[in-house]
Amino acid sequence: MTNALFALEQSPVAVSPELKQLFARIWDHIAAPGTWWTGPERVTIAGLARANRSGDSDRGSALPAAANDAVALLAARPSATTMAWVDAITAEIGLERYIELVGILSNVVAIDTVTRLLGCELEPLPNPLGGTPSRQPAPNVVKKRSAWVAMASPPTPPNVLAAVPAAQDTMLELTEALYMTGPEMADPDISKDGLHRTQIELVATTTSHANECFY
Amino acid sequence: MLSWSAITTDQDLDLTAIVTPGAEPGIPGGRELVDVGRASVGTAPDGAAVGAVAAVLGPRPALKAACVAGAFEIYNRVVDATGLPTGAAMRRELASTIDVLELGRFPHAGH
Repeated sequence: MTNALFALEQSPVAVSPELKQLFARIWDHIAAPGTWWTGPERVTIAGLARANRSGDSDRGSALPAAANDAVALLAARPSATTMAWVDAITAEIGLERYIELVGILSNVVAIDTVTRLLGCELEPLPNPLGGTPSRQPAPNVVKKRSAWVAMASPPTPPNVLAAVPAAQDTMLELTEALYMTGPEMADPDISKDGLHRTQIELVATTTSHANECFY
Repeated sequence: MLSWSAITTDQDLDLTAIVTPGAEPGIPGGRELVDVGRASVGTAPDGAAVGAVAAVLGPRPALKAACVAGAFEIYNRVVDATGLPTGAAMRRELASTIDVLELGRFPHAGH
């Protein structure tokens, strides 16, 4: 356990214990050995993501250069990716390491975003745990349509990290808590925590627009 | 999703509010919710946007708005990191939304 607190005391609105506990669990997950990266490497990825997302683009690390470059771009300006860029990164570090890295940095940026929007200082990153990665082989993932990497079918956002099941599972747990579950997405008239679906999608669309995300 | 929800539930939503600062989307708390989405890409702690939603809609919806912005910081990254294509059918279906929101100028437009 990393003993992350996520007190979020400066928030203008009350934050549920369940959400704080979820954020702390994600921090524990980042600190532990993953499928392809060690605990120290995973926390380094988290730190690079936080720094680059905050405009500190000069930070190096002990990670392979391709991993460093991947975190820097995806944290700061994800819309600038290209197929050639992804091909070059995955040729250097492998698809599975790339996917795990994407999962870590995305989760950190998301939790930091919620924390900032609540007017709170960012939670210190966790202390990494020892141990070796599980190196669990990728399940049966394939390239579909014109996607740039192999993923599960159907090619939809919940399936894009399927090459590393632990990364996919963590992303799903976090996005379902922050947004909604898959079955709920099929309901255009649903309300969640007092927001109607149209109000939810207004936030989602504005955020995506600010990130220049076409999807 | 936004247009689909608004049309299906018969709400008169003005999408141009997303690209026009100060414009009114036409749904309860709309302008304040847009401001949360815009504030999501900030780099310093700032609870003003969420506080404004809380003043109009209440604390639970305000927290949810922050959470939704966080969720889409994930979706945007995993989609752009993996080159998930939109597909021609989806692009045809959302042509008017793509036009209103000027999405054609985005780096991955058409993918």
